[in-house]
Amino acid sequence: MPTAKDEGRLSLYDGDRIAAEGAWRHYTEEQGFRSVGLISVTPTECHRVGVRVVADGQPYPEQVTVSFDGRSKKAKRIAASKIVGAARERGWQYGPIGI
Amino acid sequence: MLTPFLRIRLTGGRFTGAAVPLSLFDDLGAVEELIIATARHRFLVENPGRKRAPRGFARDLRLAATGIAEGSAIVEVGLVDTTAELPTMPRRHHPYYESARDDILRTMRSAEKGSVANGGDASGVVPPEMLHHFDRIGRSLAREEAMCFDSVSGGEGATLTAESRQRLLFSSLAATSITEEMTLRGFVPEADQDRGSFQLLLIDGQKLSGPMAEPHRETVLTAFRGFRDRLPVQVEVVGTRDRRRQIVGWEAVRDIVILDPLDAALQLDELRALDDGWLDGEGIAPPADGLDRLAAGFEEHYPDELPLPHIYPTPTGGAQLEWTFGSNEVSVEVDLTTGVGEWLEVDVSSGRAEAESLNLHDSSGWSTLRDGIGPLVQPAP
Repeated sequence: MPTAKDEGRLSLYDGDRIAAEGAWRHYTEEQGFRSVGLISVTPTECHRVGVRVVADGQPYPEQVTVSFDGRSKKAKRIAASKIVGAARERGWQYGPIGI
Repeated sequence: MLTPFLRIRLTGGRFTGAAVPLSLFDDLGAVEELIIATARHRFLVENPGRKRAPRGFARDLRLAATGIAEGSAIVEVGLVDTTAELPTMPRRHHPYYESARDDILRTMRSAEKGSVANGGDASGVVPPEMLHHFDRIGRSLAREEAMCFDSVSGGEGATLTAESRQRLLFSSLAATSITEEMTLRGFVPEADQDRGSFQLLLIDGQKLSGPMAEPHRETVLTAFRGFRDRLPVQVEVVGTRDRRRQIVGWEAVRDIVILDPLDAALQLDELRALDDGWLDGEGIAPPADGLDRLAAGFEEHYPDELPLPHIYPTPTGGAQLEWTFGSNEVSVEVDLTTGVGEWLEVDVSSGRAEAESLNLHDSSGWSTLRDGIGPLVQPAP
């Protein structure tokens, strides 16, 4: 579910440009954030629920943005639930660590 | 011979429904000890030539629970004269007991108001060095519970709450710590069978230790063996707090049980450990009273047969409950201040979505939640 902090967008890593473990290390070690692991979704799964995927490459080359802009909170939750369901079906791509 | 002496009325929480918990009789024993000690003190104050109270001062007069009044949780306490055949001696001591009772009630009233009166021997209050007796009185009192002491002689009564009890105890010269009954949840990283003790790692990272009694040994060792798999336990203890009100350990374990890893209270403890800024510098800390209320709601209204949700914090200081049933993703975003939850059920395969509002500060909201979750649970094969 995108938060106000991310301006209604989810930041993801482009799996064609960086592997799961590398993305996790970039997020935790280089950016200093906390994470228990990594899951994944495909562009098709995002398109199917009507959210836009943009490989904007900013602020780092592997950055991809999934935009939930223009939707009500309920519509965002529905789209997020569907994306999470697809990711859950696929399972952890890296981790989980420490749980 | 028996003289009505004191009435203790129990209100709120466990005492609703006119029930007097059996464990409360330990508190009543401590009330008797406090009254005897205060009466002895009062005797010495009023008889400055005496170095000690007369023999039989505490033996010939005893306090006893003389009845549990119907219709409410009320314990009647009487002063029993065990030497009725020698009426002259003990009768002389009655006034000291009555003064002691009044001193104790006066002291408790001052603690209710915010500061414990301490005006010296002539002021009619319990001296600070004797307030440690309150360590065994009311230590199981929950936040909404109280022990109301009524003087049967018509004098003003007094109320003991968890808060006023803490004030009384920390006014005691002897008290470096106080005990109270509490529930702790966490993991067991260490168990020492030789010393008969174990360590509990709380969700916030704090480690506490204390004694391990024989009846709890097997459960403690099971939790210890499951530490690496994060097998959680819930421990009911007589816990110890220092003067800064921090929990520093326990004196005794009353009960210990292995918890479901998704136990709601345990997960909500994790949310309790969050500070403002928990989400990479943003994210509001969930309010403690809202977490308490949600945990109590799960305890009271959510049946063991239903699967427990994963619980996550939301950036706005709420909690999100999540279940997965096959292709159905269920989430309830709860506003911890109002108790309003936004139910959303999405069937990922068909795209069908259903939304509903429910109020988890109300039993009907929990009923709606149960009615929503129940049909999604797959029957066991």
